[in-house]
Amino acid sequence: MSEDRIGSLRRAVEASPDDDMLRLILAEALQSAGHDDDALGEYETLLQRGAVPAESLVRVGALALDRDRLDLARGLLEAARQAGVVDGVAELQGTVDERLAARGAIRVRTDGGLPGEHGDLPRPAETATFAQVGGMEDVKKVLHRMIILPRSRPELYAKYGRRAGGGVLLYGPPGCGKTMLARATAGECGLPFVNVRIEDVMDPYMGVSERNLHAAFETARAQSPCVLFLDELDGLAYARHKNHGAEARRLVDVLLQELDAIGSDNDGVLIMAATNAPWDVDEAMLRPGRFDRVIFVSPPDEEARAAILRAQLARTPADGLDLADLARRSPLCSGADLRAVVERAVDDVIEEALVSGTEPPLRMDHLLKALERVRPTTLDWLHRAKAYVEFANQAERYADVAGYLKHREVRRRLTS
Amino acid sequence: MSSADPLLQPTVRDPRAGRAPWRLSSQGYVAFLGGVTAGTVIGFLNARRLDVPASRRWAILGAGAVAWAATVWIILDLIGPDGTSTAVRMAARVCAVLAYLLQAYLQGPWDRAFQLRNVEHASLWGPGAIAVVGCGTVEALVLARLVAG
Amino acid sequence: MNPEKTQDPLALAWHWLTIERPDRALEELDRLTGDAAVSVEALTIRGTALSLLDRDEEAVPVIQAALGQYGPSPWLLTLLANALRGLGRLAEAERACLDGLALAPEDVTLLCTYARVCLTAGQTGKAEQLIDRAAARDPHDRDVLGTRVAIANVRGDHAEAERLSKELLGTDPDDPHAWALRGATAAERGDVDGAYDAYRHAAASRPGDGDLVTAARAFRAERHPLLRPLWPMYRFGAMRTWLAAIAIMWGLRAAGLAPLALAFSLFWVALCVYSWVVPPLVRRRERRKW
Repeated sequence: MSEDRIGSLRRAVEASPDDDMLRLILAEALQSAGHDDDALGEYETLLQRGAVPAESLVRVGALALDRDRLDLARGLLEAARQAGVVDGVAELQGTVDERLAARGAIRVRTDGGLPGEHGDLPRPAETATFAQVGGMEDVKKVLHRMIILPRSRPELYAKYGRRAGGGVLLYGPPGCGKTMLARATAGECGLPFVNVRIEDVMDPYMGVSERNLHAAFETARAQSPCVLFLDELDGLAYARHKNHGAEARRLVDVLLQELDAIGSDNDGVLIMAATNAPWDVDEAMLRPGRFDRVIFVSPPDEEARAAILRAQLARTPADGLDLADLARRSPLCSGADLRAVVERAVDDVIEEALVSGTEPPLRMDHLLKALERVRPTTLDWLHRAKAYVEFANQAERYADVAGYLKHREVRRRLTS
Repeated sequence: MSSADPLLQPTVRDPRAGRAPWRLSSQGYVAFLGGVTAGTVIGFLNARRLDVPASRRWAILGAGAVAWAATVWIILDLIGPDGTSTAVRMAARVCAVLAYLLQAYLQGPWDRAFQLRNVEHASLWGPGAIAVVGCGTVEALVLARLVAG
Repeated sequence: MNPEKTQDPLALAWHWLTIERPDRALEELDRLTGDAAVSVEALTIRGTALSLLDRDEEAVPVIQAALGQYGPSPWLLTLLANALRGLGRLAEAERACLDGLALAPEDVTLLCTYARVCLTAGQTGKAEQLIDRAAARDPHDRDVLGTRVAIANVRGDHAEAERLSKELLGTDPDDPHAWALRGATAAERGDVDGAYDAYRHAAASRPGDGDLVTAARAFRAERHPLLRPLWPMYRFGAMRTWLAAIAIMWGLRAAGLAPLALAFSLFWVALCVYSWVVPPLVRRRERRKW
């Protein structure tokens, strides 16, 4: 970008100071030319007029932090929240918090309570964010609108009388990132993540499982605000009409009581759950006020698979890898399947190294050969889901999985 | 560990290995197209494959024999030497199908028990075709001779 | 929640088993190592889970190992008999039942298991006697009712099978086994709609059960409009339909209506050819459709 052009733009802006588009072009030109402080000045003017495009808010916020313009960064962060931006907001918030802490500011709880007032040590806020979950834009958007936005813009929900809250149930094949998404949701909200696994609850002694479940909810309430995540909900809340065992039924009753917060208060506890078998979850769990929204987490899409492969191969000596191509060739593979592909390919490289006495890098042909040997584990789940959608989807609760099953590649793999 | 209770004495033998039985409904086509002999041969062989008790297997053969006798009686006494070939063929078919119905009834419980083993029925295409062509030709020749004689 | 907490895979495996998720039970058992992995409890849970998953070939040695450690037990012997029956090793299955009944001669589940072994071996009479004995102990037991339905089906007494399957379903309208039995009964009676409805219920309750899903899909295919002309054949049975067709042809000829008899014969042959050609094509199309 030539200085001449910047000079021309400056003159044009001086001539038409209300032309936001011109000012935006000037700001971008200044930034490209390395005049960051000048660029931020223009962005600040634009921000005051609400004229910074939503897609630029996080990027400009990061620039403001780079130049130590904490005030501007916070303004941009707020604007990003108002605009419903999903990606990058949590990281920006995290960096702003760090800078504030470095300057001696104290973070306070949003409910005004004191950390640790329930006797439990406060947990740190979750650090995972949506940026660490590759692809899955649709699911992220739903989670953003359901959980993150009501927290960041409560007035918007209040204005339209939309009640915020209610739990979210994520379902889908194993190994496809349901837990990671829940963690990232907590991270995006800047809240601690309380993970309740079935092994934390189940106990062979009578009544202990119920007590463990109650204790998990008490812990979450003490940590409030936080995200309480119930993993493998089908194991904790197995459909009572299918089950003749009194023990498992009692556990469902306790869970329902806890969700309805009988005798206690769930305010500030965002409840999420995940399951591989939504058809086994007790119907009562899905009533309004409990798990209002049931979201299908499909096997990772191409973008997500590429991101997973990049992360898994980050520290592997490699040569000429085309991970986008590999991602394209591995439909329906879960994260665990991709890990298996990488591990088998690396095994082949090690074998080659032992035979040749050299240290060859991982190549594309290793990965492609390994891919041929790995069958997507999601297929079994998809077969089961297909049967369920075929014979028991009258309420169309699983319309999203039905839609996914109609994809050409899915149909091809399920009939082959 | 043994018991004096007569009901709790071992009586079960392992099913014959190897040859799965044929579908009962498929045997009807063999009887219709091949006649009493073809239907009876296939029915008898199938009863062995199903492990049907010997008394029932004899009953299957008996049903075939009665159907044969009925066919001959109808052709000689009811239709007579002036009867058309269509009438003779029709009589043979009716007797074959009636015999099949009885033979299938006799095999029924064992066939349904076989279905509890989750094993596929064998294909009747080959044996059925052989029975239809072989037994059917012999039977036609015998009946033709009877009518001519 | 608390990563330091010592977990008990056996308790978890048992929990998964009680809520009929044998696949997850096996996953938990795989976490066990050393002596714990081959304890009688672990072997029993593993054997039951494998049996529920219809992996009878793997289940038999596991249950036998459990019996080796624990000694004869009616429950383990019932499991063993069921797995052996699934493998078609009926004489060994009978031996297991008799060993179990020597310990607990009035055990209803064992009597029902033995009755099913006899039924599979074609000994319908003995199966009936055994089930009568079990029913004398507990006439409303679900195992007793289920076995009675199976016996009625094998005997060809479809009206009785229908009545019993309704009674069984009445005891638990959500039981996929009861729906599957009802489906089998409706199928025997040639009631395509009834069979589809029953298998659909069963498959919806157990989407992971390949047999139920296959049966539901098969009967859905049978409801195709192109197969409706064949429903009377299913309903009245091939035997009766053939008999009726031959009687009509014969009757028409006897009444001197030879052209009509010829027309009916042609129609009958066409229907037979239709019944051979169209159903496989429709089924193939339905299998690929999704």
